[in-house]
Amino acid sequence: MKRTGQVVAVAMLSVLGLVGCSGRPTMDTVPVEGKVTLDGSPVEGATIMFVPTTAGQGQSATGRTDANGVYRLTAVPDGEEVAAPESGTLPGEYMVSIRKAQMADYISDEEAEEKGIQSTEASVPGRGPDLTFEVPKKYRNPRQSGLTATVVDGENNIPFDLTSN
Amino acid sequence: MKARNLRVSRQAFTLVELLVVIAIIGVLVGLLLPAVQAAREAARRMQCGNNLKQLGLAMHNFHDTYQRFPAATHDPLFLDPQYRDYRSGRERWSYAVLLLPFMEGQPLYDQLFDTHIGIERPWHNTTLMQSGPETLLCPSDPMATTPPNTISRISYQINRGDQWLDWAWHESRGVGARGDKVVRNFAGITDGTSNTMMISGVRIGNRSSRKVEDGFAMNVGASNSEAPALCLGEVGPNNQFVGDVETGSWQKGWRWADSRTPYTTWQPMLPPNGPSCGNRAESWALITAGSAHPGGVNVVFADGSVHFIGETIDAGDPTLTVFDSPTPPADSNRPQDYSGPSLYGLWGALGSVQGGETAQLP
Repeated sequence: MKRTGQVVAVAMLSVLGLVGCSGRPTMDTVPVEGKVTLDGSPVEGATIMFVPTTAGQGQSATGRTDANGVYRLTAVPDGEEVAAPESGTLPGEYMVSIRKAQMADYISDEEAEEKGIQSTEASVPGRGPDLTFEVPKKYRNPRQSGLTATVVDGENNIPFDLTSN
Repeated sequence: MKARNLRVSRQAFTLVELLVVIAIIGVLVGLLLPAVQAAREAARRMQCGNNLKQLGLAMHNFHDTYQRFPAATHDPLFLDPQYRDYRSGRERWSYAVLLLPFMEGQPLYDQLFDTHIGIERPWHNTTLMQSGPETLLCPSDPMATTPPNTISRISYQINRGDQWLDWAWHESRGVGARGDKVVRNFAGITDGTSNTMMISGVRIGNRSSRKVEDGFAMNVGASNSEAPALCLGEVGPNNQFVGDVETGSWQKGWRWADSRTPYTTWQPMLPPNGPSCGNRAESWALITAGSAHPGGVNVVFADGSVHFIGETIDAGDPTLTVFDSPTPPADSNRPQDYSGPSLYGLWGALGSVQGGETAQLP
């Protein structure tokens, strides 16, 4: 009788243990972080993007700078392959873009209607919003920014010192 | 004496036996409950897909009547010469309004257009706006129930093409186009109707949410044809947005009759259940398909078939823009002129109407 109870208890525990055993595959990433400065002062809230110089060698990754201007990369998911947040990316050669832009204050149609003014945003195509690039526009495209980085095995600290001119 | 004792002890359960029985029942119930929940979710998912099927049929019936698909915005039906004023708000009616007569919504459609011409606008919180059809809501979505006295919501959004452009810009590479610029019909879907996505499920937003599924990352992008990877840059640990999020009522799917990007349109660029972001939700938004179903999203294709598409579908390199293509648009101010194959893998290829890709759903 007692033995039966023990057997049942063991069976129960193993069933419970099986619940919740499922995980997602992750990439073999190495951590990448660094500080972004513009004319010497740290840039907060900029989006940084790493793109492999040769397609297929490495993995595109993105990050965002914090209040100290420090970014930590997360690799872009690739099908079943998912990287843990801020875990970095695969080693390789990368082209880099850094971007921070603000649009002029947006006035919606309903606000315009309430205030009896013309909406600033034309419903007619051909007009883009007025953007202010807080990080110079030349750094916005990874293929034209002139910024590059090499990610190696192990910890990576890759700072970027940008200039307005 | 001995025999009698044994008989007495046989008349009751021991504590251990009782505990074992309770434990077994507990385990069985524990095993059963998730199954019951899963069955209920399966039923909701079926209804969700069935609604999409209805929308697909309504699209076809609309095509039978008008020899074209409804426009995503600026539909010619709403832009008759008398009301060609772009400030009237009529250009903002959504594809869902156009489909009303084809899904048992004729009375509502008549009221919107016969008695309220030029008065009712998609953002006005009126009785008519509060009575959007139930077919437009996916029961799996926790935000699908519309709170009292608010504009009805919508879970199904029309494919606006694989480019990150603002609402009024789209001549569009998708089925949903700007109606006064592009007429989209069966003949124009040269990639094949069974290889072209028409309407997808999109998670309804939640005000100020930091969660990728129902939040909206603000102050991102805001210029023509940006790389969708910018949106991924906003996602931090635990699938939460790290930067500013949309706090206003401009949330995904919050106005069933409004054609502005977050309400009734989506772009097939980032894979399903990915982040949505933009300058503001109403301005230069990138809306990503998603659902509350685990692992993917239901999409109705132009041939009327509904498919469940997994979130691991190949979506190409999100750091690309049309200007990185081997055949970039000639005018750098007109990215919407791009006519080459999609840059965003199978997902983008299924999203483009005339990309010329040989992509097929596996």
